[in-house]
Amino acid sequence: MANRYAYYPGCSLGSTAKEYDFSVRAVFAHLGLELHEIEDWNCCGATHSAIYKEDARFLLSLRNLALAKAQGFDTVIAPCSACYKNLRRATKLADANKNLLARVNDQMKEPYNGGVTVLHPLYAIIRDFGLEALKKRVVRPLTGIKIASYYGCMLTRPVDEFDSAERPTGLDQLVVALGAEPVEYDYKAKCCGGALALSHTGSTVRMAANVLTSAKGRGAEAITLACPMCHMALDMYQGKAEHAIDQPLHLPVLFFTQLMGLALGLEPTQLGLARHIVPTQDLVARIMG
Amino acid sequence: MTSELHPFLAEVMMLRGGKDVLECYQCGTCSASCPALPDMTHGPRRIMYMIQNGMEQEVLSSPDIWRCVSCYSCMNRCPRGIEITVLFSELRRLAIQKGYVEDKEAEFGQAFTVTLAQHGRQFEPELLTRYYWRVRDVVGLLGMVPLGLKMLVKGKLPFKPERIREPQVLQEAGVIPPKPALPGGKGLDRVVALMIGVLGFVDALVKLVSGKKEAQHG
Repeated sequence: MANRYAYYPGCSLGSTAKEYDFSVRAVFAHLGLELHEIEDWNCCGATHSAIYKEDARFLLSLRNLALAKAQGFDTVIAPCSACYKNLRRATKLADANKNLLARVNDQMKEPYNGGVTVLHPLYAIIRDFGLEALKKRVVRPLTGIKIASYYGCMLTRPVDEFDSAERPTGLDQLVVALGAEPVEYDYKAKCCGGALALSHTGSTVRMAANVLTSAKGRGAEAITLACPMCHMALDMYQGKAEHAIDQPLHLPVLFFTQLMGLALGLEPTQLGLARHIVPTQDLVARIMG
Repeated sequence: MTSELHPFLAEVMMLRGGKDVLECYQCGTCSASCPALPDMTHGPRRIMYMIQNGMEQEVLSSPDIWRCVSCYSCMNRCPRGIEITVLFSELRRLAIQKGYVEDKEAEFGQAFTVTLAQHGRQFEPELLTRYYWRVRDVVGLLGMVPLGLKMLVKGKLPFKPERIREPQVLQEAGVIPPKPALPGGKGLDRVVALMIGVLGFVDALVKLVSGKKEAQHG
């Protein structure tokens, strides 16, 4: 039987990171992994959910899990690292703290009673499809292309069972499976500062510039990542970073699902590759041959 | 021990991530791991020390709690197992409740939460409107215009809010305080309503002109 997952796109995948949504859906469908968008899902609250009330943090996550369960799913795929972290931690807290769960359930129409697992699509593919199987599906190997994997924060922190929080390898393994050359660099698991992009733009620009120059300095020709906030900082703010350090970077920043899609033979138009702020066409042309 | 805990310390110890603050032995791993340290006044190590010593005003009015980027580096490495990142987010709420706050990120966080509670999902044009209304930062707003235009061209800004069936469930559950307590008041509500109306009109116009062509891909 095919793998069936509930899909929680989260807000960014409907606006600033539509290309991530397109490419996740396209790649999962291509691999025969079924995604079913949770009906009536709500925003997870990102890092601001508890700014007025403590329990709101869990309510915003648990409502989505309760909906997924009621709609017949026990596994939720969340592509945004922040949504993933919030939803996944909520499942663990619901199991561990029954008082809190009862309190939050009191305020929801559909109570959550456990039994849902939240996965990030990267680790769902590694776990449920497998990198060896993936290798066999590659029709356009990314041979000779140097790609820096950028993990950011909430994909691997707080630490969980899927990867190391200090020296993660999941994205690099994927890059290798697609035939590309992984780049070792210092900032792969350091923060991009995306959280403060509007309020303290200077902080974001400084942190994003650190990541970009570190990757570029090790010869990266592109960056791949797994979070819409990281993408905003490294793609949309790359111009500001270039301005701040007074040197050009021109580093295309692709979601890992876009990279997968290209290697698996999907069309660039299915993957939203023209929607980036830093142009991707040279890289895409190279891959398409 | 005969001494009682300082009231502020006792209060912090009741927060999520706060129960172990007395375990901190000031090793400084947190501050050494913090990517936002250059923008902070004290850094997490000294904040922990100040909490231990009951320095409410210094902690809650410090910009540091708003400069945290939620990267979980400190929390991941803390040898005492203190959930520093979680605690920082709780300190933010305490700072707002006690009226200590003067930071643009505090305004952003509240604009974010209020917007999500209106629709159940985020709606970036409204978030930006509420945020810039609250901070009155014209220079910052102008600085974002070039990027905003690029985002518009690339289809990265939505014209219409997506709504869940009953966003009031979130409001009633206290995701945001009841209306009278919300800053901005009627003026901001009118501006937001106008903005949503104009965007909806533009959206309808674009769809009409493009003959409802699905332009979302590519």
